[in-house]
Amino acid sequence: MKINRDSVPTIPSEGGGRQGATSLNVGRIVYVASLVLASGLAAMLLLRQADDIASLKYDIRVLINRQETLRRLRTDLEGRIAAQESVERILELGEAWGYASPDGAREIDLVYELAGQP
Amino acid sequence: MGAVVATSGMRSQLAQETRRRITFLGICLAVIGLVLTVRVGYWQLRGVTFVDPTQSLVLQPLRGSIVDANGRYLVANSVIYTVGISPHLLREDDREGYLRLLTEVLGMEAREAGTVLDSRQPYVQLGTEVPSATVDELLRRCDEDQYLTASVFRLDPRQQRVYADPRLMASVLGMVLSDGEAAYGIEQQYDAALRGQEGQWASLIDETGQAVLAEWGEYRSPRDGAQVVLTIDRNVQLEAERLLTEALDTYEALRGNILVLDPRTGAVLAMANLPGVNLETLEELQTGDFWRVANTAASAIYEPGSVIKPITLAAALETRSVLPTDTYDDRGEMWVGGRRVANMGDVPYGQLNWTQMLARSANVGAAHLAATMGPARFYEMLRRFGFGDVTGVDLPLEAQGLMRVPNMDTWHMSDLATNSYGQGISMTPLQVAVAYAALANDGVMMRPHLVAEVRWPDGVQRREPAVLRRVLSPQVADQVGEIMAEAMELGMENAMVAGYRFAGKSGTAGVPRDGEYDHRLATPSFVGFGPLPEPRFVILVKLEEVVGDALGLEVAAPIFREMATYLLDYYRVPASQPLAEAG
Repeated sequence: MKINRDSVPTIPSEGGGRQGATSLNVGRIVYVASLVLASGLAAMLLLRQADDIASLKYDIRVLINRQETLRRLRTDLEGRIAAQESVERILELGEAWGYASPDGAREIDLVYELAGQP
Repeated sequence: MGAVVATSGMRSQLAQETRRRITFLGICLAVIGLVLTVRVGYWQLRGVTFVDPTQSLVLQPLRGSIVDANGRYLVANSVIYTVGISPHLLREDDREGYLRLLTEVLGMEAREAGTVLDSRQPYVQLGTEVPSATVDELLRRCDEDQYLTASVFRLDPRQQRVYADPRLMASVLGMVLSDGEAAYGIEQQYDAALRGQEGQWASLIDETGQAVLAEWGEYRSPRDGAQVVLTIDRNVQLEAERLLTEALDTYEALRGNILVLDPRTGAVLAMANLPGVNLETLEELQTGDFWRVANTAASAIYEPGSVIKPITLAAALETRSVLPTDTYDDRGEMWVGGRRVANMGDVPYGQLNWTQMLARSANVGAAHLAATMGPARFYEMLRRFGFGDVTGVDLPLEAQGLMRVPNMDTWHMSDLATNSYGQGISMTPLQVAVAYAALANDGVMMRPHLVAEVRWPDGVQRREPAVLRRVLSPQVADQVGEIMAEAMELGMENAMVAGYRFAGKSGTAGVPRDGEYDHRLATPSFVGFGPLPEPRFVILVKLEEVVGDALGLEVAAPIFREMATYLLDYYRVPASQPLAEAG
């Protein structure tokens, strides 16, 4: 049987197909890559900013907490000073140590006129 | 040919798979987009409050402290904690460690602590008033032990008022109730300054109050309350309260007051009102204990009795109704408006000058002065002395007193006589002291005040002395002071201080009950100022409802002398007379 070569279906050349697809994809890839790069850059900038903001916020939060802690410490210290300054407590301590309140003390202005002075 | 068909089918299948995946991804993205759109639309359409200050994180300011004239703390704050634990976060292996922590640091019973730890509850409260030292110890132990963590505890700090001496001048200081509201005294009067201003950290929230984003928006730090500096010296106050406590015990009086004023400025140096309260045990108070909490020196009225006679004399001299050198014939009684007015014991003293009238505390003499003046001038002068009106002291709930005047239906001509010696008229101890301060300050009345400064974190606000009005001419004020001092030397030795001249007057008032005087009770008092010629102190001593014959001269005058002696020592006032001569 004689075969008519023209009637034999041929497989399309892969190289030709690949060549056509390659020339199309390079343009697209460059385009997409540019988009991705630009988006990535923008995202990176945004993320960087968000990171900076979050970091600053955290620092502020730490400082505010520190401030609150210091205020609490100061308050507590004031309370302890007030308790230590109790006049009743001081009088009791004084009495325990043998001190007594002065009784009948007087302030008197004494003026000396020295002889021979104008 | 078969191979060709197979390859084409595979490609088609691959394309279909890819399309399916893309479709699936698209649907996922669409769903996410839809959810976001719906949520954003929900926020937009339902009118969500984005930054709502009322829902923000509120930062509490510190309440300001109160200090005395020397800067010593009277009221400050301490931090206490509400401590809770989350047992469901604990591992079984660490149970023993936490058990020791609860028993050794927080002082819980082992059984109770075990029950708490085994409960596996998300939160159990362990204490509501845990001192900061205990919390510090708790945190230190957690730091040191690698198996314990402080994060299972919830620590909610809050401030609590601390009193250096919780019984000292309680009615002057006032209190802060458990809900944070100030009541009575300086705490109430200066609440706006002491309270400070809340800070806030605004949050982005949805309408249900849930924070969408925390710490969104402006941070405003809290403004701590101001420190209030009193004119009261706590040492003088302590001495006044010591003397008053002794007197209340000795004479079994219902209440008492000792007031010390600087007549030159109106500054209150001491204000003792007893019996008082312990500000740290307020929960023990009963409903009827109002007068133990309230400042009776400014809020409670009483009939002053004879201490008003120098005011009547000053009014008569100021209106030129009489002269300092005049005398009158005291027959022991007189009739005014159809009512008999008599001296104590109906004693006729004969011809008396004003010094003798005050020394003998002659009711007839005071009534004679009032009758000579006439109602219009007499009551006009009483008004100038501030009776029937508030003094404007920086305290809440000040009473204005009760004074009937001629245009009132209830006034009777006989009131002219009885009012002249302090009966049928009511006033606060502060009003009496302020009136005497005007006599001592060359006739100029100063506004009484208890606060010298308000110290804000960014500045000091000084309370300058304020003149209320001129009540008397300086000459009349001097004349009255001299007459009073001579009267003291004549008949009030109990109140005299060796080496110094004081001007004063005793009073023994009846106690009105249901329209009658209860003769079993008396209100003895003594008011005076000195040392002359430049008075630095006005001292009022009053005991209320003393049983029996409690004369002001015998009961209150010695307390006056002790208080005056203390003040002269404390402020190092040089003697104005040779000690030997004064006796």
